[in-house]
Amino acid sequence: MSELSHDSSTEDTQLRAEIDRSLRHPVMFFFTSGAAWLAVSLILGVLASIKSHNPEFLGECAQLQYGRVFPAHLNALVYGWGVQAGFGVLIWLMARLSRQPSRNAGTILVAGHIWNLGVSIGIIGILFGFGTGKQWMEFPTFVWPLLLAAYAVIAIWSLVAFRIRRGEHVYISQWYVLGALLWFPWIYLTANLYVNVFDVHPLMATAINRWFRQAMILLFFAPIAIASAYYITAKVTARAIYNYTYAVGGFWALAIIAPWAGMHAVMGSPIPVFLQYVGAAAAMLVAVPLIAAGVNILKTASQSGEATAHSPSLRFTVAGIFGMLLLAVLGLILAHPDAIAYTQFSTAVYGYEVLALYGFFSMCMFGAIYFIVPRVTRREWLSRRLIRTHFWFSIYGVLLIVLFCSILGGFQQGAAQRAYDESWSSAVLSMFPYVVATTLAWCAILYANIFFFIHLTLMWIRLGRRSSHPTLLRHDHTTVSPHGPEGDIEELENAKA
Amino acid sequence: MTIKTFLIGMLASFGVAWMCIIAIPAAKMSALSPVKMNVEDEDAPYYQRKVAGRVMSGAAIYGANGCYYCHTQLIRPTYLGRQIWRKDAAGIYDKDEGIDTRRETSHYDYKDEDFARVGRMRVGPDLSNFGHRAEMYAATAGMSPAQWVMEHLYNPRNSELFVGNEGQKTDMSWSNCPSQKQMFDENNLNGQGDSLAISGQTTESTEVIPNEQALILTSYLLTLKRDDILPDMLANKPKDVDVKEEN
Repeated sequence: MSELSHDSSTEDTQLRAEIDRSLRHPVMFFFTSGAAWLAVSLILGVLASIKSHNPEFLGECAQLQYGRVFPAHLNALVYGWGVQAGFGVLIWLMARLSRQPSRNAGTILVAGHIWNLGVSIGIIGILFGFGTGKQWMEFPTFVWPLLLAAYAVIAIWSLVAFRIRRGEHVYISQWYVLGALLWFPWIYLTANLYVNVFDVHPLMATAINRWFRQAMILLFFAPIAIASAYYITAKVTARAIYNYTYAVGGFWALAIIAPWAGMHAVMGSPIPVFLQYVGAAAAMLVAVPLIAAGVNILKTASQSGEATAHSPSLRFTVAGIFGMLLLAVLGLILAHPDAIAYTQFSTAVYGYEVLALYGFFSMCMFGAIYFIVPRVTRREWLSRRLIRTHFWFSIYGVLLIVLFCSILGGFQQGAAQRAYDESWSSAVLSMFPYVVATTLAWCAILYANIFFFIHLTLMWIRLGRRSSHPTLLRHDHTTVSPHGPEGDIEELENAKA
Repeated sequence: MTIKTFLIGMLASFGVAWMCIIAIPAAKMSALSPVKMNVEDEDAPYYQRKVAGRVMSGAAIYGANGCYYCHTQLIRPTYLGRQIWRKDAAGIYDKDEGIDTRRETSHYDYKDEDFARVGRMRVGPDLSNFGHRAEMYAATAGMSPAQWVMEHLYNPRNSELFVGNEGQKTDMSWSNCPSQKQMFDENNLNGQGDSLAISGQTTESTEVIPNEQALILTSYLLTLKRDDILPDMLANKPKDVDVKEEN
């Protein structure tokens, strides 16, 4: 393991420390407020889930009824946690890989506050009955320009950092991050203009809304998670990526296939038929780039099984990559028109979203957070027990949701709907065990993340351990740091070549 | 890979898809030409969908309260779903009377809304033809359709609302539908009381009456009758019907 580690010069070490220091505040702000939103989203999710089998729970208060709590839960998960965790990871990755300390941490921090303000207004708006009723875009309409402006201010500095990068080589994670940086405004602006501003056919607005949801998963969340996974895996195992050509190929396959996916969600509605089927085909084909990236990352990680067992970052990342492979397979199943006949209007959709947002994206982000936070705060994580609880309860929860919501529940619900001679109550009652199981699964995830939030907050207020020994998941002492040797990622590439 | 090839690649890969599935279809769908009721007949009138109700604001309330999470508004072709055969879901079907208005959803059906509320899950029944069903249930329960809808919004688990032809009641306690009590206000009872007051909630001095939101939403829900006769080229009906043609 040690033959590949390099002694990096003092100058490089100083530069890395400078980059970490320069981004400490914005990165920690994004992570901590993201984790807080995650906790809010999970509480709302548990509440919505209970209400889906017990509608009179907590009384029949308007602000807490299912139809408002559920979109609040989903939007908090997407914009409060998902996008913010993504911001934190991408600005840090871009600065580190471009070897440029940030000179605009203050501006990014202000924009981060504006983003949080927008999300808060949006969530409160939904709960008080001002939601738009458009999936993933439920925030009151005036919020989206605010969010887009905040995004622009945050993202522009990462583009600048890339532009003035030091060194010629561009690492694969940079391409993915750059892709996400450019795709997000295009997707977000397109969706909001067509759905909220332009006077298009109402069905086309709905179709674009569904496309937006899929594009956010495949062209914003997925690239950031993959970028972080490539970086963390190579760093922690101190190995070069298994096959760099495949990595680049995977990126372009994603870029070419993913923008077409999404409109299969309105299959059977009177929009042009090719939109529905090209959406289904792309949603299935996107398994190719996801599997290519996944296998590549797992191959890299498997060169050092030890590190996967020790390092929290790598363990979460590998779990996230398994989530991605599962997502590819689930997409393959759920986007098939024969399956759509059953699952189009069922909980399967929700299971897919939860797997994408939590099982894949969030797990990769947790991996990145366990890696980045000790570096920017210069403190080590307090307790391996908290990390372990976070890991296992997340895994149990998300697997239960995928199993019960997406696979079993989705098809059961679809079959019950198709039995057109049966009364509707039988379709509703047949779902009861699955919705109860979903509630339990959310409780497990909530339990995991309350500890994560507390742990992260303690790190944020700099109460982490002052130690040069990182927090590992196991006791054994190895000579090499489980975070991998310090050094720049290109050195690993060069060593391989 | 240089930054230039990267940007060109991004622009091409995303731009082509964007043009083909967003920009061009959206433009085409916004400029649909009117359709004649009968293409072969030169003098045939053009199809026009007529809806009377507070559709735009009603649909906004429908969206804000998340009704679309559990209710869909789409009758799919039979190769995707079988809701066209579900009783009263896709239109009225009475074999004895020779009435069959069942059909798939057409793109005209959402014409007056700004966003088609196709829906996400089908926890509750499809609402494409809820207007018809509300009228039927109201008739058997002895209420006006609007009153019936409001009773249902106030308490979806009200077993008094679904009355069979022989007066038998249907148990609704299994329903997961959230009650929309925020759309109703408690008022002082004046004179004979409000005709839309919720039954069973009137005390000696107060009654529960629907507010503006409930009125608008009810007006919208009662417009949901998506089974009007379409031009031949658009009408997709179930094939295995043996009722006489109505034209």
